[in-house]
Amino acid sequence: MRPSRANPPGPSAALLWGWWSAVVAISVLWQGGETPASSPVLGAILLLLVMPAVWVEIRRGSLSAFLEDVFSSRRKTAFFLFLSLVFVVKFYWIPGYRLYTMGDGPAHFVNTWMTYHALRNGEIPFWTNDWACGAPFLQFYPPLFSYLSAGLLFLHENIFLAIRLLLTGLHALSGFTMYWTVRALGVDRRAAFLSALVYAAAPWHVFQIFHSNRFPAAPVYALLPLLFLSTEMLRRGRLAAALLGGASLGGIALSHQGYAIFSGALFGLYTLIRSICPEESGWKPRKEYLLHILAAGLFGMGLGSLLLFPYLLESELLPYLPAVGTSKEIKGYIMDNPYLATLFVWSRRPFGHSGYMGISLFLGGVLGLAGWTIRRGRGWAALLVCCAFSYYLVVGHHNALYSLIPLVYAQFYAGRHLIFLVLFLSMGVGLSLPFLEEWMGKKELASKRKRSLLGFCRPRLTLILMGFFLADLGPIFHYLQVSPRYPFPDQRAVYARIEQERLGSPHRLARAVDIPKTFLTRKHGSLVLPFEARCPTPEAGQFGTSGSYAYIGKILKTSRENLPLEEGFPESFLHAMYLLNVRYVSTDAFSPSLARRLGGENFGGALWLFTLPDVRPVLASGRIEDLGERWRHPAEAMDMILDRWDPPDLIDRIIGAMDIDMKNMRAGTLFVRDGPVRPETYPEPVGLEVGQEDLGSTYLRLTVTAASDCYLRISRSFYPHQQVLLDGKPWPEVYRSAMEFIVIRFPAGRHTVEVRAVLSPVRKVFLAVSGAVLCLMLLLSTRIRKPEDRSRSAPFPALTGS
Amino acid sequence: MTTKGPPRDVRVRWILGLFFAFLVGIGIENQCHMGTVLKAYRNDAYIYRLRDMVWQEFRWFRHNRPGALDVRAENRDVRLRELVERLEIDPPESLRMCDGPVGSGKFVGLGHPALGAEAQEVVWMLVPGIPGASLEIEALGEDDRRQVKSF
Repeated sequence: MRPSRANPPGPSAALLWGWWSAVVAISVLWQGGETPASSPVLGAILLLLVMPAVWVEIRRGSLSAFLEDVFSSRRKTAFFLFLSLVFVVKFYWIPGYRLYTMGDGPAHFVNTWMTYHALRNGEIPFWTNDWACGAPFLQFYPPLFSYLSAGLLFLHENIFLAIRLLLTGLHALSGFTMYWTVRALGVDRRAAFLSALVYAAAPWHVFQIFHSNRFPAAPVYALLPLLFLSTEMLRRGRLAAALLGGASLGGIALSHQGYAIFSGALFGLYTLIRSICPEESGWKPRKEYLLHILAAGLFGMGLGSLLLFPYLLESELLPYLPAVGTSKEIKGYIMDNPYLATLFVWSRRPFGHSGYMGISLFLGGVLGLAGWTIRRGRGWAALLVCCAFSYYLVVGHHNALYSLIPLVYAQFYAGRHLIFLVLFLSMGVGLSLPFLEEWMGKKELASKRKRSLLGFCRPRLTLILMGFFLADLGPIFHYLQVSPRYPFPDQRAVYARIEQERLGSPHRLARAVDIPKTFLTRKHGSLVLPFEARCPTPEAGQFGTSGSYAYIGKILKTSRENLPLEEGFPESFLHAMYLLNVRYVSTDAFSPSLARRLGGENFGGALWLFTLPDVRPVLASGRIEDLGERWRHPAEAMDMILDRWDPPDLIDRIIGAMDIDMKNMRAGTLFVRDGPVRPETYPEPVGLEVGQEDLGSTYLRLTVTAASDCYLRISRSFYPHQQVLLDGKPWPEVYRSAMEFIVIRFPAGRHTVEVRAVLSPVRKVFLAVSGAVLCLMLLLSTRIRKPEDRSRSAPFPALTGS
Repeated sequence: MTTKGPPRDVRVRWILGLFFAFLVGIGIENQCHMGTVLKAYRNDAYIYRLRDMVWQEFRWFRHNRPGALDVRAENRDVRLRELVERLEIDPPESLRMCDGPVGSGKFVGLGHPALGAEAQEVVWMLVPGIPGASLEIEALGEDDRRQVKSF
């Protein structure tokens, strides 16, 4: 029996809804680890569920009729899309720390926690004392994801749940935004549904967010289709279109400023081509499209200005900033660029970051765009050009003209542009449906068997294409479930002990660091101190480029390299840890007998915790010396890590020349980079005491006593936009130490020293601009008139024309 | 939905022809480079491991570890073969080794002379490093000489 609208499925529709819900629920429970079924058992269960459905489809066409019934209603389509997207995004609920251990996960978890913590304490999180020895926070890095996930923490303080929920929600939302966008091109719900499913299920989409833990890209996937939808919404009203485009572009900029550049470029290209070859009025440019580019661009840039413009204007601050860094010299990664073979042939050993796209997505997308072009569908030329440009961004990295594209290497490696190719190919997949149906309807075949086959497939095209794309995703789902986790020791017990020690001692500022024996197996958690954020995860992650953390990174790297070779803690190590105010060291570098001799506490296996004595957050001296040209910064921040210094042991030389006396908190000399030509020299400081220690997200406060005038080095990163207060009043005598810490002249007596991070004037201005633009957009949105006719089933009825 | 004109006209064919030719052309250019890049990367990875081993031996020697190779920048007697034997991994076939002491021992093969450079024929020579540091295995003949040694 052929399925048709005249013969609706009747009571079996409820059964089929139940069936699809059961398939989704079982697969979600399996992926979430709530069912004990192994992969073969699950496969057998799903086969048992699927086979009857296939049988009734072949015999009666029930499934196709069911889908036709679903797509006849807006609500049913939305619910069916929702269920299908839940089926796709269930991998976020894989139990354990899978979401945490493969890529940048630890950093994003800690960023979320720090944002939440700061907001809970009534502070704006633009600085953190927990990265390195203090660093700007979310000033040079897009903040949107951290704020969204921190917001969820206010509802329930469970960081894994919050991030899983947010990623699941954004991934599912990306399916809906793609659905709306393709619908606006004038195709029916089936085609739009297919695009939505394919976009959410695209292997690169899954890999980039879940496998590589690039969480900030999740909002980009959700917002990107809306940027192009805004162009199609021009018919509904310019204001609504401009606001949608601006909000999308601004949101993308605040999620990932690199993607915002190319999103804006593609949006401009798309809209420009739409303006010069709209299907209904010939080849004349239309002003409203050009105005739309301008309006959406201004709104978007205005909204994102709090990040975009200060980033450009203050980029000089980047090279030696702890926890920030830059790799501007790296022009594309050596081996991480995509090749067709890696894009289309699935391998369990992905080729760096080059990404797997799947042949089905590529073929289906290209076919769809070609078919849309033949049918002269809405936006055919713009889609074709944007797809070609995206393809070139991904695959053209060996082409002679590639380097002419401005900022093309700002994204590090060409694979990062895959998001745009996935976008346009996903659109193309949906657009292939009407083309294929039309072609199949017109195809005249001589052979009866072929005609029967064509007649069988045509009404079931949606199902066949869905199966085709989901089959391509099958190996991915399996790989995500079984792929090796990044091994790390569970250090929660260590952190709990450190917390206990800190609560019971006056040294509240004392830091902890993890020094692994082998960098390659314990890369994360080795370089920086984000454990300090008290983020409730089993491992403190690190984040940043290789040039990040500057001197602090170099100190820790040297410590990591040398400690396993030492029979204990050498003086150079202790002095280095003193400078970082590190009191607690966890490491697996020592043998058990040595660790016991050194007074360590064992936490299972080779992991030991040591508490270093005589560590304070300050170091006093009677003299400072301007280094001048004696020991210059390396030419590039990257050179700090690459050991290409001259001399190679520069850190040791500087520390050695300081002549540190830890017990008395003294140094013979403090070296600075900026200072008075002839600084005053004082007697050796005596009677130094550190009283109260207080630490907030943006400030550090100490009570220090000295019997005589001296210079005080504070274990806090130097940053131009900080204010030093002495007894509550701004203190101007501040120097930048040789290794980028703060040194101040300290008058005799007991004083409270406070170092407080402040927003630079530039940032204040652009924060105000972003706020003003947001208020303006909200105000303008109240002036959008709602469409009178709500009887059409499409979300944007004025655009569909059907 | 609006459509315009007959579904297949010459202009559309030209446009689609150009589109597919573009995809295929760029794709072929891309894929042709893959073999070269893979070979270069394999060689780079070996050189990276060798450099890492040299840096490790240098630290071990400085810490008086028994058996550590003296790979200090001042020691010109070390031969390239000694380093390869210490690594216990033979170089890939695409990397030709010309054994010799510091200043003449070298590897020749496809590689990236520096981060971000194009894959090309590279000569990596065993050279004295910065005084006070270790020997270096450095690519010759490129302006940008910064290379990854260890992280």
